Order: sequence, then C-alpha cells, then structure tokens
Amino acid sequence: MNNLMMEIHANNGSMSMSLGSTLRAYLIEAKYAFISILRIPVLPITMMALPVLMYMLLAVTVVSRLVVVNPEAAVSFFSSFLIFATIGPGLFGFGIGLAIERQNGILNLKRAQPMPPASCLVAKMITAMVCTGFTILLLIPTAMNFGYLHLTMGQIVNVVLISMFGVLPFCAIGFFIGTLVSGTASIGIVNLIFFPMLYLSGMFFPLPGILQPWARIWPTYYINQIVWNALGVENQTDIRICVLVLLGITVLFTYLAARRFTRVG
Amino acid sequence: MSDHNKKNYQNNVIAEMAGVYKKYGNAVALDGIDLKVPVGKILAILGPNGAGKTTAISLLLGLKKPNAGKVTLFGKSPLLLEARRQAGVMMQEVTLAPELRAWELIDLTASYYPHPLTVKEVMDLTNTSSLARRPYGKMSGGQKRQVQFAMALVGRPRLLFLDEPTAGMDIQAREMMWSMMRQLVREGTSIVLTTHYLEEAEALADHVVVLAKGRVVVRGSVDEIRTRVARKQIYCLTKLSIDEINNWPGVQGVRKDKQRLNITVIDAEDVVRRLFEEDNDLRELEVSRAGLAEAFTKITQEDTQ
Repeated sequence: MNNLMMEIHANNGSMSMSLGSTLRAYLIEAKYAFISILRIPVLPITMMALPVLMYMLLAVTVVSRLVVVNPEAAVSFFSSFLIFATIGPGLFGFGIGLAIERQNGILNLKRAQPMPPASCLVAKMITAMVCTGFTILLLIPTAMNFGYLHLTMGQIVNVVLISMFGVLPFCAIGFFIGTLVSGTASIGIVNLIFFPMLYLSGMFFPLPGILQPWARIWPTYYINQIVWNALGVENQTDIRICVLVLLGITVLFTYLAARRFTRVG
Repeated sequence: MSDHNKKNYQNNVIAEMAGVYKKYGNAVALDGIDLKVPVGKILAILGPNGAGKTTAISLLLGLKKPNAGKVTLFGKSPLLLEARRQAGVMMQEVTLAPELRAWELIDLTASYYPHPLTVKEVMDLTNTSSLARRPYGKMSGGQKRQVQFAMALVGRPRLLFLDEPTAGMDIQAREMMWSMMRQLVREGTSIVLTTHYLEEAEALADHVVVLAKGRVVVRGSVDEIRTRVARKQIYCLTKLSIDEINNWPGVQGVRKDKQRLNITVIDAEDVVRRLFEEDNDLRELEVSRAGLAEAFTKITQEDTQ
C-alpha cells in the first residue's frame, strides 16, 4: 500500500491532456454508453421494435390498398415510419436519458471530475445514431417484404444515413428538455411534444387545410422531405432549405441547452 | 495567474474563496465567505442543513459561479479543466449507473485525468478489488462509498473533496477509510471534508470551519472550537431528583438519559463533590468535556438566535 501511496504522490506531470488522451476519453465514454444500453436493453429494444412492428401491422392492412390508388404511398408510408423510428432514440433515449443522469447527479459529478466538456453528450449522440441506424436496417427489409417498397442499394445507404443524421435535431431538443426538467418530468414533456409532432407534421394523416402550413414548424416535416427526395418522390421544399432548417434546429437547441447546462448543471 | 493568487499558492494555500457571495433568486446561500484550504491538511466544513456547505464545495469545483468575490483552485479559476484535473471528488448526492461494474466506473473516471493510476492499482490501494466485477446497483451503501473513493483517487489528486465519505459504512470500513485519509494527508494530499458525523471531523480534521446561514461563524482547530464551549457533562445513577440538582450553583441543566442523569455544568469538580456528599449510593459516574458535536450545536444555535 505504501508503494501505491507514493504512486499517487508521484503526480508532477503537466495537467494538459494530449489530443490522443482526449480522444481516448471520448471513446471510453462512448464505449460505456453502449455497454449500459446492452446491459439494460429494454428501452432500446422497445424503441427499435415498436416502429417496425407497427409498420408491419399497418403495411399488411393499409398499404396494400393504398398502393393500388397511389404507387407513391409505399414511399410516404415508409418515410413516416422511418421518422417515427428516428425520433425515439433522440427524444426518448438521449433526452430522457440525459435528464435522468442529471437528476441522479451524474452530470454534476462528471463536470467536477474534469470530464472533457462534450464527451458525455457526444457519446450519447453516437449511441442514438447507431440505435437509429439499426432500427432502419430492420425497417428496410420489412418494408421491402410487406410494404411494396423497392429500394436500390444506393437508396438503402442514403436512407440509413439520413436517419442516422436525422436523429441529431431530436437529440438537441431532447438535450434542451433534459436541462430544463427532472428525469421524471421529462417523460411527460417528451410525450407532449412527440405525439403532436407526429400528427401535426402531416406524416401519418392528411391535415385539414388550416393546419397544413403549420406542418413546417416541425423538424419531422423537413426530414420527410429529404427522405422523399432520396426515394425519388417529388418534394415540396428545396432540400438545401430542409438541411439548413434541421442544422439550425440542432445548433439552436444545442446552444440553448449547453448554456443552461453550464449555468445550472 | 494574478500575483495575489500566485503568492497564495506558493504560501501553501491550495484553494481559496475570498469575499464570496452566492445567491439563488432572492435567497442568499453564501454571504461573503473567506476560506483557505491549506496544503497537506484536512479541512472540515461543518454546518446544519442549508448552511451553504454544498454551495461552497460547488463553487470550489467550478460547478457554479459566484455572484461576487473570487474562487481559486491551485491558483487558477476552478472553471478550468487544468485546475480540476488536480482534484478528486466524492459527492454524496450521486446515483451512478447501476448496470456498470466497479472497475468500469473507475476506468471511465481515469480517462478524464492526464496521469491516472491504473484501475488495478487504485483498487488495491482502496481494498476494493473484490468488488471489481460487481455491478454498482448490487452493492451495499458502504461498498458504493468505497468505489466512489477509489474513483476520487484514480486521477492522483493533490486535493480531495469528500462529501460524507463514510455515510452508510460499517465501523471496520470507516476505520479503514479514515486510516487511508490520514496516510494520504501525511504524504501531502489536502482534503476538504464535509460530514454530518462530527466524530469523523473530530478524528480527522486539522482545521474546522463552521457555516451557518451562509456565513463562517467559527473557524479553528478542533481543540480551539471545543474550548469555546466551557461546559462539561456529568452522567450518574443517583437517587437525587432532577429538580433538586437543578437548583445547585454551577448547574446549567439536568435531564434524564435512560436510567442515568445527565448534568451540564461549568465546574465539574464542585458538583461531583456535592453529589457524593448527598448520595452515598451514587454509581456509574462519568465526566466528559464538550465534544465537537456539542460545541457545534451551541455555536450554530447561538448564531441562529
């Protein structure tokens, strides 16, 4: 023990971290974020399975009738569920997960422990992106087998990438909610946003005329446009504008959340 | 680093708060605090709930910013990572990821520091090797504190912040942690300790600061604080009544403590002499001077009044 005590006091080196050590800290944070998910897989499995199972159910009963009238219905139906699968890991996994960690005092401890400032957030963003990617990889064969969807390899790669990056605006919104309210309250708040967003962005049901212009206030609308474009369906808004809006939402909410996070923890 | 900070740091002050005010809305949490953490000593910060202990620690760790005044850690702002990389932290109000194992939690913490010990080294040092593969959620309260202590040490800190370090520990584990803390301090580590166990502060602290309502009400060594309370306690089994003894000169209070009477006095010798004179069957006599607990209660009560 004495030798080890001497080891503790042999700390006379520089207190700056090399780039390699900082990168290693980010990697280790991400590694344990994944280990945590694998050890408590109930939430991610629910988030991954729900859109796929719901899609399968509705594809058999609804899409088969819709595609007879409108062949593009298969794409819009798939796109809606792809976005449904994208919101989950961002708002629920990232946002609620962060709020619970904050409530449990983990974030405060990590800040006091000299964690590299963004490593915890980056680790959670990466896990949310990977969870989304996996879900879409389950959704695609389901859609191609039951949902009358025909995708080329290039389109498959595109939609997987769109969904993986599409999760980031929802992570940012989740981050903001996670810094505003406690873990318990965040579940209610996220649901309050989640369901209106699904309905009011007009993805699942046609909106009444008066509500249609308001669909554009939701990030889901813009991802939907990007997916349609990637799958060859005519989109209503320029893709560059869609990307800019999503980027803006991500930057704005990350900034607001980071500012609040550094002020109140 | 300003000249003042540099001078302080060289003068064996490892962390400092100077004229620090902190408000939450209209509530004043710290009301002009001055605090110095000396090198190689244990400083205990005591105070009733709401006294400002947690706020003081949060400011020293850079988790919050003061509304006025200056906080330095190793002569730098505690908001800087370079300052905090020299400190280890153990917080009370933390529920770590229950699914992660002890060695994984320590490994993650080690990654935040530039020159950490290996996980094996710190687990050997803190006698936590047997917990290495146990999930955190399946540990007892005391085992969780031991793992958190290992996490606090893994970065080879020169200053340790320990918030209620032995809460929930059995006596053996507590003694072991106390001995480790003493050894760390002998080797040059500084410790800031907050605790509700006054006997812990009494056993370990070189300096004590008592906070009440966001102000320092007293500071000094444990002995200096204890001597502020001149009272002594007499315990005995006697046939004499409480009312009778209460009327004796020098007696400040009498109460029943289980079977025995507990008499608070200024001058114990005179009262003991009279007790023997008036009760030949007096038994189980015990005289003790004021402990830190009593001094603490008196000081904080006085301040409240």
